[in-house]
Amino acid sequence: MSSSLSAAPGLVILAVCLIVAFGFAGLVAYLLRRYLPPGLREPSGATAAAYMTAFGSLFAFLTGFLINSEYATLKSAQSYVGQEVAAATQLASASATLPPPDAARIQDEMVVYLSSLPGAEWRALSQRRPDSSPSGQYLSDLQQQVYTLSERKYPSSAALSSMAGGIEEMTQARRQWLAIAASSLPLPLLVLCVVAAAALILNALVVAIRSGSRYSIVATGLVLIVALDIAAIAAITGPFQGPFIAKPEPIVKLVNEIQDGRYKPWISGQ
Amino acid sequence: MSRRAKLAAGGAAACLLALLLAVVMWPSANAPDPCAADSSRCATIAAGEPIYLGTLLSDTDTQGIDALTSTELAIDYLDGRFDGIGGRLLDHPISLVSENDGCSPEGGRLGAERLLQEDKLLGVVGPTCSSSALDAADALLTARKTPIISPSNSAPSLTDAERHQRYYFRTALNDLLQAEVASAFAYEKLGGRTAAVMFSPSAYSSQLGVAFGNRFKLKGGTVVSRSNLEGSGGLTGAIRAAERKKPDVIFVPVQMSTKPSCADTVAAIRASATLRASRVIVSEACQDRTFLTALGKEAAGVFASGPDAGDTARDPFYQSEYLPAFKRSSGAAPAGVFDTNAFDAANLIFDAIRQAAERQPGGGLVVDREKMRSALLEVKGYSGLSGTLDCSTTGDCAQGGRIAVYKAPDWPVLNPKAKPVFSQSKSIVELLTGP
Repeated sequence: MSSSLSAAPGLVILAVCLIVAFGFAGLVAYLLRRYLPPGLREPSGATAAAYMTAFGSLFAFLTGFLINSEYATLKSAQSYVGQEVAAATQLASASATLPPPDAARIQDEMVVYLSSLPGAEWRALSQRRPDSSPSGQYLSDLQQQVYTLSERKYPSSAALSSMAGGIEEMTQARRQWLAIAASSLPLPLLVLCVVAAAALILNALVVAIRSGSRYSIVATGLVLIVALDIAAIAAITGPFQGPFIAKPEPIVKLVNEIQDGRYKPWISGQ
Repeated sequence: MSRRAKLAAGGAAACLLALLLAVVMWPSANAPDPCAADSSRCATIAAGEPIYLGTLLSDTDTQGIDALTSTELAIDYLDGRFDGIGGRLLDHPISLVSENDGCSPEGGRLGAERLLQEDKLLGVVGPTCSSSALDAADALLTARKTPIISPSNSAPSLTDAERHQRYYFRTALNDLLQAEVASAFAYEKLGGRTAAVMFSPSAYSSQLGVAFGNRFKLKGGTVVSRSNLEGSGGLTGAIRAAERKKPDVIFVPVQMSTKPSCADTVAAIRASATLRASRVIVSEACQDRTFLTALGKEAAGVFASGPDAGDTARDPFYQSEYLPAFKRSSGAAPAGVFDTNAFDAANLIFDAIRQAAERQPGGGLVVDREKMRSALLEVKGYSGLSGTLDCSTTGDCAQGGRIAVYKAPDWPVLNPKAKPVFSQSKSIVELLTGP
C-alpha cells in the first residue's frame, strides 16, 4: 500500500495525504463534538494541551528520522548511478584503444545497456520486479564481450585491465542499487509515525474544542503539516519510483557522448 | 478598470501569447526535418528489418574476390567473433547485396543500377577497378546519395578535386604515391635512365602509367615509349616499340583480368631476347598469386610495387584473428593486396551508419545518408588493418602510407613475411605540394 502510494505522482500523493488527514480530522472532530460531554471538554482540553508538546515532538522526531533516512537512501542510489557512469566512462575510454571494430562494438553494447537503465530498469525497480528488466542481460552481454577480448592476444594489458575494472565496478554499482531498490521503509517506524500523527491530530482537536474556533485555525494548520510530512515520506520513499528518484541525467549524457563518437579516437571534432 | 488599462492588459496578454508561440515554434522553424524535405536522403529501417550493404566487386579478379571475403568477414565480426555467423548492427542483421563491377565503365554502371534497385541500400564496398567507378558507379551512387568506398581503386582522377563525386571514398592508396615510389626505385635503386610504359586503356592502368612517367621524368629519366596494349599494335606492337628503344626499365601497370593480362605482357617481355636486360616492374594489380603461377620460373626477378604489407603482417589482430578467419572462409590466404582495405571499408560504412542512425521507439532506425557522408569526412586517424585512415573531402581515406617494391618470387602474396627490396613512406600532400 505504502509502496504503491510512493510510486504515484507527487500531486496524487499530496492529495491522498491531505484527504486522509483532513478526513480523519473531520471524523474525529465530529465524534468529539457528538460524544464528548461539554463538562468534560475543559479538563480533557487541559490534559490534551499538556500532551501536545510530547506528541508533537514524537511525530517530528519520527518523520524527521524517516525523511532523513529515505533521503540518505536516495542520495546513496544517486551516488551508485554516478559510480556506474564513472565506471562506464572508464570502460568507454579503455575501449578506445582497441581496433576500431572492437571499440565500436563494445560502445554499441554500452549504449544498449545504459539506455535501458532510465527506462526499463527504473520501471522494473519501481514495480519491485527487477527480474523483468532487460538491463541485467545487456550487462551480461557486455561482460561477455569484455571477457572474450581478455582472452585475445592483441589488446594491451593496460586496456584490458582498465576495461575489466570498469565492467566490474559497473556490475557492483548495479548490484548496489538493486539492493537499495529491494529495501523498503521500516514498517514499525512508519506505523509508529502514523499513530503519532493520529494522536497529534486527536490531541489538537480536543484542545481546539476546549479553546473554541480561534484555536481551530491552529489545529487545521497542524493537520496540514501532518499531511505534508506524511506526503513527504511517501514521496521520497523508493529511489526509483515516485516524484523523487535517482536522476538519470548523467547516464543520458554519457549515452549521448558515446553515440556522438566521443570515445572513438578516429572521429575528429570530438 | 479604465478602457486604456483594459487595452494595455489585452496588448500585454497578446504579446505574451505571441512570445509563447514563438518559443514553441522556434525549434521546428529552425531545424526542418531533412528526411521530410528529401526522402531519397534517408532510409527507414523497421525493427527486425535488415540493413542493406552492397558490394560492387569483380568476381573474376582475385582482388575483387578477396574484397568480397573481407566484407563478409567484417559483417561476421560485428558480434566480436569470426564464427561464420553474421553479426548485427544496431540490433539489425546485415543483408549483403553483391554485384559484379565487370572491371569496366559499363559493368560499373550496370552493377550500380542493380544495387540501387534496393531503396534502402546504405552503402557500397567497391568497385574493384577504377574504370568501373570513374564517371560510372561513383556518379550513379552519388546521385542517389549512397556512400561508396572502394578498397582497390587507385586512379588519381577519382579523387581529383575537379571531378570527385561527393559520396565516393576509397581506402586504397592513391596511385600518385605508387608512381612516385616505383619511379624512385627505377631511377635511384635500379639506376634506370630510360623507361617504357605498357598500359591498358583502363582508368587505373593509363593513369598510373602517366603518373609513373611524369615522376620518372621529374627525377631525370626519359620515357622512351608508351604503348597501349589494346591499341592498334596490341601486345606485339608494344613489345616491338620497346625492343627498338631497349629501355632500362619496363613498367607494366596492368591488371590480371584484362586482355592481354599483366601475366601475358610480362611473359611476352621475357620471351624477347632484346628485352632480357630490361628490368620489369609491375603494379599492385598484378601482385597476385595467379601471376606467379602463370609465369612460373619466368616470374623470378620481376619487381612488384604496392602497399607495404609489413605493417599489416605485424598487426596482432591481423595475425591472430583476421588472417586465420580469412583462411577458414576462403580456403587460402589472400591472393591479392587489397583484402584489408575492404575490411576497413566495410567497417567505415558500419561506423558511419552508427553515427547517422536515429534510433526509433520499438527498435527501428532512420538513417540519413548525408550524415553518413559527414561521418566519413570526420574520420581522422582510424587505425585500420590497411593502415591509418583520414578521409579527405575529395574521398582519399588513405592519405599516405608506405609503398614497397618486392622481387619475385618473394612477394607478400606467397610469403607474408616477404622483405621489400625498396620501401618509402609518402603522403598525397607531400606529392601535391612538392616538385
